[in-house]
Amino acid sequence: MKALFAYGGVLMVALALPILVVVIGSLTAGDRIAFPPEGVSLRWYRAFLDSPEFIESARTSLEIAGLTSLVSGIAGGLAALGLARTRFRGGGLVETLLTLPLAIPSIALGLACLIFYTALDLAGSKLALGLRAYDRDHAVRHSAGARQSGGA
Amino acid sequence: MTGGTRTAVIASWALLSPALIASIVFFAAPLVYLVVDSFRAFSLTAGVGGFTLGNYSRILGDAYYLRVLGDTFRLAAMTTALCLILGYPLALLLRAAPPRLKALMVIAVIAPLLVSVVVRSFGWVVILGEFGLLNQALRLLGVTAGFASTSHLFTEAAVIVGLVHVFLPFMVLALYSALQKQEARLVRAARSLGASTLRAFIAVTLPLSVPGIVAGTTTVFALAAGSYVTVSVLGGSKVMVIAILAYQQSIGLTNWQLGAAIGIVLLIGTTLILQLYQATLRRLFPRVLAV
Repeated sequence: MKALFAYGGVLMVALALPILVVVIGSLTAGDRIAFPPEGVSLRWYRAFLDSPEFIESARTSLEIAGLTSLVSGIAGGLAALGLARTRFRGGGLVETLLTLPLAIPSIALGLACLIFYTALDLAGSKLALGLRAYDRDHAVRHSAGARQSGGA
Repeated sequence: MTGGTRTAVIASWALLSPALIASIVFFAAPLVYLVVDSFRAFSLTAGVGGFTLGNYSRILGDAYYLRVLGDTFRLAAMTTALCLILGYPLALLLRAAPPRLKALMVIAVIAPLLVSVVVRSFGWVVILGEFGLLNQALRLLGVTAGFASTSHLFTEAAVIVGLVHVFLPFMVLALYSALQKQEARLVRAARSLGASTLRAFIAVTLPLSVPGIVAGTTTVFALAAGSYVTVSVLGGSKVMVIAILAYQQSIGLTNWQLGAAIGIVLLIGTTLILQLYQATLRRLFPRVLAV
């Protein structure tokens, strides 16, 4: 049992390590990201805040994340409720359809959406990106999983 | 649960309708369009042409594409196997841990999922580079020659390390949820009948966790076979997978039709492998995997 706990500890440190390295490395005063950092400074954070492109990209990321969470949270939450309330013909099929995007390589789906929305003249818009992100809708899956183990 | 009343069923469909409409518009329709597009010809001079099987015959008749397809599935399989081997003990540990420690461990396992794949892959660049953390640690231990003085980036090993790191949480969560459903008295019964800890594990815990193993390995394999970011960050131009090829063809060379066909080949390949895998396991464990 002790060996198991030691193993778990080591593995969890390994899981956190790459993230810690980036966080600490970002505080470097030097020109490259290295560990340990060459001096401590916030210069790269200033560089980020001083760059209009980075700020604009960050804003886009946040908009897409917000839009996606909102749409998939509402649609996914309602769907999970609908699946959990009653058992009906076609329910299993619907659940499969809603969770299928998880099993499809994201490169294929991304490409599919790009081609499709280009045909509709939507590509490149934030709307299209948000719609694409919706496909990875984990909300339904998690709620549906809770339904199964909770035995609603 | 029994069949609902008419009103309840209608209410369920109403609740489902936003998600269903979204699925059709954002998922089913683009995918159908992708399939159609993959059967169309393309040339840089003439643009998109008529219907053809050319994209598929080009992929399946080209040794390079086939090798990359094989490499993709091999990398995905190795990633899946390593995730299972590394993740199973962790899932057992999660089940055995006292509540407070368990909560902490669940957070530690899930937390990486909240950090972008780009950041996590980049972390490995810092660790595995020529002057990275790994080589520094090796030098501290007195290893200077050979292994410790070269970069470990842009190798298959680096890619697999990165992929395992990205997908391990999915495996652990799938295994843990299966292990958690097991009744502790089954193991106690086995022990009281004289089975050793190991024997009880092999005869009771392990077979009963097969559904979790299937769920975890299936998810990890499908995700790993389609992964793009981790492979391109840690593999550079040295490790080629099918997702990168599809991206190069469609975005780099504007041949969306060939890119679409590559995507479909990946999709069908992944599905076939997983169906075969699940059918085999169902045959091996008919009792725990009844459909």
